[in-house]
Amino acid sequence: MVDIQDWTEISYEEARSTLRKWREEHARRSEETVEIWEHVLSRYASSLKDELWPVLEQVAISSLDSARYELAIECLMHLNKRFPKSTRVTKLQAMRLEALRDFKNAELLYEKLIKTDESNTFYRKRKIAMLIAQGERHEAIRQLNDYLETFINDPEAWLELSELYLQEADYARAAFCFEELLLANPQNSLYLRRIAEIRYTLGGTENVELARAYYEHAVKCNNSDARALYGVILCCNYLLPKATAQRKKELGATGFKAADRLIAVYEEQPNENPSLKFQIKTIQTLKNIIKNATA
Amino acid sequence: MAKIGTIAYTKMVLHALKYPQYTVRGILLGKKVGDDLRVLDAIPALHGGLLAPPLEILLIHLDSFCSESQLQIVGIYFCNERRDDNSFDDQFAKVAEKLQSNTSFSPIVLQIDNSKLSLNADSSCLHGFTYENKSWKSKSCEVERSEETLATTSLAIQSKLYRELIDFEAHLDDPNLADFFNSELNSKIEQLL
Repeated sequence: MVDIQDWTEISYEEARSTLRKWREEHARRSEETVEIWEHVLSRYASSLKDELWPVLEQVAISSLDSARYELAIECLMHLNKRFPKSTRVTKLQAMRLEALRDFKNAELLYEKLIKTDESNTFYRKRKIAMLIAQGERHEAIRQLNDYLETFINDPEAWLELSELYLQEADYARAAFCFEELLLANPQNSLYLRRIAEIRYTLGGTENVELARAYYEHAVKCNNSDARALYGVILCCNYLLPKATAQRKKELGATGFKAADRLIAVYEEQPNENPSLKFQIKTIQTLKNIIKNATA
Repeated sequence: MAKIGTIAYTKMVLHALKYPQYTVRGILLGKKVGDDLRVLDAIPALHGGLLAPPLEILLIHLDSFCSESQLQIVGIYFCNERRDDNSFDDQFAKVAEKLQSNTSFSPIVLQIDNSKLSLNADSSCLHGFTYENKSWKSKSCEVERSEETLATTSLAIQSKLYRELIDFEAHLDDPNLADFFNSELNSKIEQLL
């Protein structure tokens, strides 16, 4: 998937559908969103009709993320005029305070908002986000754990918690977060890969065996997942030296199969790749290492 | 003395700018020239969490690459996630410590100081560190052709070249983003010089 690098000359339709796609995916492409708005979509504001409002919300958040504070204020003014006294707009105002690092007042605003809706998860998570922004990682972890006791099925929160644990180099707890995520989403290949990588990083035969299983599961979900295929090869490599003769045969076969599939994945890619021969050579080297270890 | 070449410097900054919300990490390639350690290229590796597998795979690719080129792995670079976080990346530095055993020289760790990143920087944003007596100590590093390098980096930022940069993790997630050596980007940076 080759991306557009310059969004300034795209058509109205392309701009509209791109922003919609990013809204639906919750993609964080703030600088590009601002670029698309300023160069293209802002001129067609009236054509957007009702879609204008979610777009303005999206542009407001992206402007805050890109330090474009005047543009954010402009969007907020339009939104406020159309939806006076809206909690959704108030939330954006709180985010603006966050972006300006006025955490005290942002927190007051979020507390007010929480009082209007105790079950709203967004306001609570923003408070934790502010802790993270200020480097209060331990406190953020504590509060996020608290939050998850009540809102146990929030994937975004589990993902954020695992990121925080990774930053603490607490790989065991980071893995635990993904175990929770996989309970609810056992076929999610992103989670499978991630937990495999954490387990591999933890090291030791038991963890790497687990990693291998997770990686293989990810490959089953998506046969062209290069990252998972590489992972399988790494695990086989790691486990081979200490394996029994029977197990060596199995690991060797698994590693070989993954390496062959990986080479095929590289060769299938549409983009021209000047380093293709070189990259394939490296995978062949990995195959040879496996071969030697199986002998 | 560590000397940082234009391409290495610019690519490190572009990597940091491409992923403003993440910690970015990468590997440095270069060679020892007399008493100096010349850092000639930066291979952007990770954005986000520090996990072993992508790093190991990258190092395998780089070993292969280095054996065929004149370059060696000479160190690592990183840039913290938050602007006011100047802590040293102890975990990632362990990778550089391991390099020590493979080389005759002391590998270098470069930290990008977020607060010094700017469109019109007049000084380098890098802090250097070397490994002495089992710990990482601050060591000065020089940017080669400093004025031109900083100007080149500014131009690269203004031309939004960070959008074209491919780090190794992005390559793993989408092998269609094939060239994690960023040879085209390297050429564009040279042209800006």
